[in-house]
Amino acid sequence: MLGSWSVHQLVEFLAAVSEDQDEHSALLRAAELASETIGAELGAVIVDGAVAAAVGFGTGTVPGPELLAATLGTSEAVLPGIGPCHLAVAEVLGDADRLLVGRLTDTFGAEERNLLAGMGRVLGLSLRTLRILAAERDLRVAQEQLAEERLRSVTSLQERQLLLETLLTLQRSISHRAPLPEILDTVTAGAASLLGARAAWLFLRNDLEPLRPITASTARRPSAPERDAALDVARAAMAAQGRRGSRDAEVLRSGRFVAATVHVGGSISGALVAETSEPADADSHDDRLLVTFAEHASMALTDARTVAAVNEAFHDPLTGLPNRALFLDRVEQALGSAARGGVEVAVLFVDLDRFKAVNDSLGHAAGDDLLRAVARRLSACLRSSAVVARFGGDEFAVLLEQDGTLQAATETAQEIIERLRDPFSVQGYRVLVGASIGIAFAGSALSEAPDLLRNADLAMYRAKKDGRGGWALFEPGMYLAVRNRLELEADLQRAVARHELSVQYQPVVRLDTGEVTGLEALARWDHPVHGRISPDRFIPLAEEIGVIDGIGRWVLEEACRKLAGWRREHPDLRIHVNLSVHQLHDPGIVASVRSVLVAHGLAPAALTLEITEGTFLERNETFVVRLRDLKRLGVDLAVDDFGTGYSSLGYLRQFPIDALKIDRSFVEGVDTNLECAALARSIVELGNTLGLAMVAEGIENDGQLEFLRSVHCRYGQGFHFSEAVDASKVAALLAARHQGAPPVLPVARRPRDQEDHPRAQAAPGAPGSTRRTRVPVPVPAPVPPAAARRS
Amino acid sequence: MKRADGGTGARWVGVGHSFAPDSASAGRAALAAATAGREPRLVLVFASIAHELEALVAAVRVDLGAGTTLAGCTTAGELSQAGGGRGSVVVAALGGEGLSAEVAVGLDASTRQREAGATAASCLAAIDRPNRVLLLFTPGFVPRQEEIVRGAYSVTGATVPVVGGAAGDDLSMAGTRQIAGDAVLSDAVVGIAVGSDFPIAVSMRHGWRKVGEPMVVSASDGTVISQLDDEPALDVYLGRLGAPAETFHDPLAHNRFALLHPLGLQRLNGEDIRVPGEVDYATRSLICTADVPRGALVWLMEGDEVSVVEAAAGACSDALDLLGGGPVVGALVFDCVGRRLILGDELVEKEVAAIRSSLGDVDVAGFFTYGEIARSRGSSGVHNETFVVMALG
Repeated sequence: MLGSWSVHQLVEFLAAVSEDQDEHSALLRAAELASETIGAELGAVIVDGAVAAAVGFGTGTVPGPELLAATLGTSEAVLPGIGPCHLAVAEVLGDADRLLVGRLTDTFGAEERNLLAGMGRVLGLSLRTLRILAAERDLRVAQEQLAEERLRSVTSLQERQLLLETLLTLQRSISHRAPLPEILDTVTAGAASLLGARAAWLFLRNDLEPLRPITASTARRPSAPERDAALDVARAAMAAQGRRGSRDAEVLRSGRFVAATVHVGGSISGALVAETSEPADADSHDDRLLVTFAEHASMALTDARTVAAVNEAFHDPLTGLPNRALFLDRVEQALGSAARGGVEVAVLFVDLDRFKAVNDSLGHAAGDDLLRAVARRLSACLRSSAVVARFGGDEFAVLLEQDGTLQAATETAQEIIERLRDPFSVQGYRVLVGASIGIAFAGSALSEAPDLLRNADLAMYRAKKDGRGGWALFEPGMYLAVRNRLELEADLQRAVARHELSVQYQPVVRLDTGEVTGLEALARWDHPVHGRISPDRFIPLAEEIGVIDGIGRWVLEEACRKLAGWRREHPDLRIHVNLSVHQLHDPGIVASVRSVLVAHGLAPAALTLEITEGTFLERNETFVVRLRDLKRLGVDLAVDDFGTGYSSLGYLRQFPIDALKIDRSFVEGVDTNLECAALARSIVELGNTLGLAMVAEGIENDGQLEFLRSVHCRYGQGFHFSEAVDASKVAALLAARHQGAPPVLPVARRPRDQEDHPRAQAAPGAPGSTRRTRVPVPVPAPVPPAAARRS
Repeated sequence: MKRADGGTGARWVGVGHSFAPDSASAGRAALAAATAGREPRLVLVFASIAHELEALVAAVRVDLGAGTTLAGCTTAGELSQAGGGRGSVVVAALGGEGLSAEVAVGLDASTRQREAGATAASCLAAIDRPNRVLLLFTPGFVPRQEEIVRGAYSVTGATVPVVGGAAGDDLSMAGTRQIAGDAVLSDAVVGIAVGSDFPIAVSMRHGWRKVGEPMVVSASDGTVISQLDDEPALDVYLGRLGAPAETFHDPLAHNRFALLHPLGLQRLNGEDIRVPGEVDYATRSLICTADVPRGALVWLMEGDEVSVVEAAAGACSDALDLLGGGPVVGALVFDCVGRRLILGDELVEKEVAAIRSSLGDVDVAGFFTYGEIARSRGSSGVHNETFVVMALG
C-alpha cells in the first residue's frame, strides 16, 4: 500500500476545505490539514503576497518575510522563534499564492511534495469557488454580470461536487484493488467527464522504450488520428517538463488538446491528455482540473504494483520482450507516423526452424533457455530503434521504422538469419536452430496493422516452403496463392477418388534405330475448375500433404496394367515410372512394387523406376537399403534429371543404378552451343563408361538428335519423337514406330559402337513372349557382350 | 531538548496510589505517599469517578501550599508503579529545583473546542524554562477533540510538546470531571504548563495491527461515520468483525466491543487509531471521538496482550532515547481504556512491569483515558488506543 494513502489524503483535504463558507476559515483549515497530514509542525497559506493563515508558530510573530521568501519546491530556512527547519512550498492559484509546510526535523520526500502540490491545486479550486461566492455576496455590480457569475459559481459548485465524487470513485477502485484497466479507465473517464472533453487518454512511459509510451487507457472512443495527435502532445509535454526539470504536474496546450504530465515516484511517467470541443484559452480553469486529475493519477500509480502491472500486461514473461499486444500498438503508431511523415515501415516475422526438435529432445526448460538466448541475440543484432517482440511459441517479430526500406529490411533479415545460424549453447549442449523470415511492407493502401502482420506471416510461410533458413518478401499474390493452395490441397486429396487423375505415356526411343523401347508414365490431373494441372505443380504438393504414396501407387498400378496389355504385341516393351523420395520412406514400398508386378504378370525387368538425382544425395541409409531391395526384385533404377543436383558422383558407385536420364537443360543447347555440346558429350561418355544406359530428355529437333547419336547416347525422349499421349493412343504409336519408321543406317562404327549394353537389350523372360520386336535393319550380329564392368 | 548548564537538579517525582474507599482518606494517603514529606510544585490527581471528587480535592488541597499547582481528572482506570486499579486514587507530585508549573482552564469545551484549548494553553506564557511541555486533560465525551488540541497548538506552537488525555468515567457513560486549582469542573479543558531545566520526553505507540482489506469512508460528517464502502457504517463494521448480537442494539455492549476493535485511519507514517465507540442505531452510523474525514481509508485493527505490552515498552524506550539514555526522574502515562480491556485488570501489572523495566525503578503515575493526547512532531495530537508516556529527565 505504498502511495495510495496520498490519494485519500487529497480527497479528505478537498472534502474538508470544501466545507468552509468563508475564505479565511478555508485557508486556516488548509494550513492545518496540510501540516497535520504531511506530518509537519508548521503550515501556512500565502495569498496575494501576504501570509493569510499560519499554524505552528504559537503566539509568537509569524515570520512573514522568511515564509514569503521561500521558493517553490523544497528549501531550508532559519525561522525566528522556531529555528532551522525544512520547508516545502506548492502553488495554489497564481504566482502570488502558495501553500507551505515546514518541519523541524527530516526533509520532505517526493511523495510528500506531490501531495502538497495536489493540496495546493485543490485549495486553489476551492478558493476560486469561494471567491466567486464571496464576490457574489458582496458585489454591487450590473445585473448581467452578477447573473453570469452566479451561473459560474453554480457550475463551479457542481463541478467541485463532481470532482469530489469522481475522485472518490477513483479512490475506491484503487483501494478495492480493482483490475488495473478499470483504475486507469476511471482516471480517463473522470477527466473526460469533468472537462466535458470529447476524449481523453492516459499514456504511460514504457520502461523498456522510454520514447514510446503505451496507451494505457482511452475514454470516449476517439479515432486513431485523434489518438496520434494526442500522443504527440503527450510526448511534447513530457519532454518540455523533462527539460524544465520541475517536479509538479504541468499543462501543455496544443490546439484542442491539453496534456498534464503524470509522475510516478518523482519522475515523469506519462501524460493525461484531453481533447476539448474547441481550443480554449491558456491557463483556464480546465487546466487546473486536468492537473488535479493528473496528480491523482500520479499518486494512484505511485503504487509500484500498478506501474509494474502495466508493463507486465504488455510484455512477454519469458523473454521480457514486448508481446503481441504491445507490438501491434507499436505498429499502429509507426503506421500513423509513416502516413504523416513518409517513413517506410517494415515488419519481419521470424520463425525458428528447428525449435521443435530442440524442445522435444532436450525438454521445455532447455526450450525456454533457447528462446531467451534467441531473444537476446535478436535484440543485439538490431538497432535500438527496431522493436523486437515475441508472439509466443517460437515466433518473433521485428518492426523497422526509420529504416524500413526494402534494402534495409532484406539486409536486416539476412543478418538475422546469419546470426541465428550460429550455434547456441543450451544447458551445455550445442544447438543449431536457424530461422525463416517473412518480410512485409506498409504500402500506400495499407493502413491497418493487422494486415501488415498477416502479410509478414504469409511471407514467412513462403520462406519456409522455399527451404528453411531464408527470407521471403510478401507479394500481393501470396495471399491469394496461399488461399488457392489450400483449396488445391483439399482438391488433390480427393483427386484419386474422383478419378480426376490420369496417366499419359511418352515413348523412350533408341536413338540409333528409332525403336520404342519403353514408355514413361506421367501423371496428369484434370481439375474440374482449373483444368489440366501438370505434375510439376501437383506432385510436390502431393508430397507435402502426404498423398504421394497413394497417387504414386495408383500410377504404378495403372501403368503396369496397361503395359501388360501392350506387351502382348510388344513383349520387350518396358515401363518407366517415377518414384518419389517420399515413397522410399514407406517400408512397404518394395512389397508393394512386387505385388503390382505379380498382379499383372510382369517380369521385374519390365519396370524402370525413375528417381530424381536429389534423392541420392540425401545420404540416407534407409534409402540405400530400399533401393538395393528394389534392385533385388529385378527392376531397373534410373536417375532422373541427372546433372541438376550437386554432383557427387560417388553415389553412382554406391547405389545400384542402371540408367541416367540426362536433364533437358543439357540437351537444349547441344546443337547451338559448344559448351552445352561438350558438357553433354562428357555426361554421355561418363555414363557409357560406367556401363549405364543414357537417356537424353527433351529432344526437340533433328540437330539435337544427330548430336546425341554422334556421342553415342543410346536413348532419348522428347517432342521430336512424340509428346506424352493417352493410353488409347499408345498402341497406334507403337505400331507406327514399327511399321513406318525409316530404317536408320548406322554410321560406320567400330565394334564398340555396336556393342549393346547387356541391360539395354530387351530382356527375355516375359512369360509367354519370345518374339523380339526389332526393326529389320541390317546390322552386324551382336557381338557377345564384353565383360561386364560392374560387379 | 535543551539541557541547562550546571546544576545537579534536586527535582523529584513521587507517586502514591490509594485503594481506600473513603475519598478524602484516599486522597490524603496517596498525596502523603507521593510527597514523602517534600514540598511539591505540581500535584496531579487521577481518580475514579466513583469517588466523591469535591471531598477528595478539598482534602488534598488542605495539605498543599498556596504555590502548588493542583490539577487532574477522572479516569477509566488508574495506574502507578504499584500496578493498576479501578475505583482508586493516584496522586503524582513533582517538585525540586529547576521545575515550574502553571495551570489554566478553558470552559464550555463541547461548544467552543478551539477557544477552550487555546485558553487552557495560555498558562504556557507564564513558564520560562528551557524545556517546556503542556499537559492537557479534556472532557472525555466532547467530540472533535482535535479541535481542542488545535486550539492549544495555536498557542504553544511547534516547539512545545503537548501531552495528556481525555478524562474517563469508568465506562459508566455518565460524564467525566476535570480538576483545576480547587475546583471540580465538567466540560472543561485543563492545561498545565510544565517547565524544567532538564529534558522532558514525550513518546507514544499504539501496538495495533491492520487486519484484512481497508474500507473507504464514503460518507461522514466530523466524528460521525455514516457509510463505509457505500454501505451503512454500523452494519459494515459489526458485520465484518462478526460482532456479537448485543452490539447491534445495546450501546454499552457496542462500546465495549468497539474499544477492542478500533479503526486505523491511514496516514503517512502509520495509522491514526479511531474508536467508533458510540452508535446511532437509527442512521446505522458510528461515532468516534475524533474526526474521521470523508474519503479516508480505514483499516480494521486487532491487538492482543503481547502487542499492547510491547507498545508500552517501545514507547518508553523511545522516550528514554530522547532523554539521551537517562536518568529518568519519573514518568506520567496516559493509556487508552481499550488497551486496558485487552490486558485485563490483572495484566495491567505486566504493562507496569514493562514500563519500569524500560525506564528504570522510577515512580509512574497515569490513567486510562478516553483519548490520548501527544504532539511532539507534526501538528496533529489526538490519538486513540495508544500508549503515551511523558518522561522527566
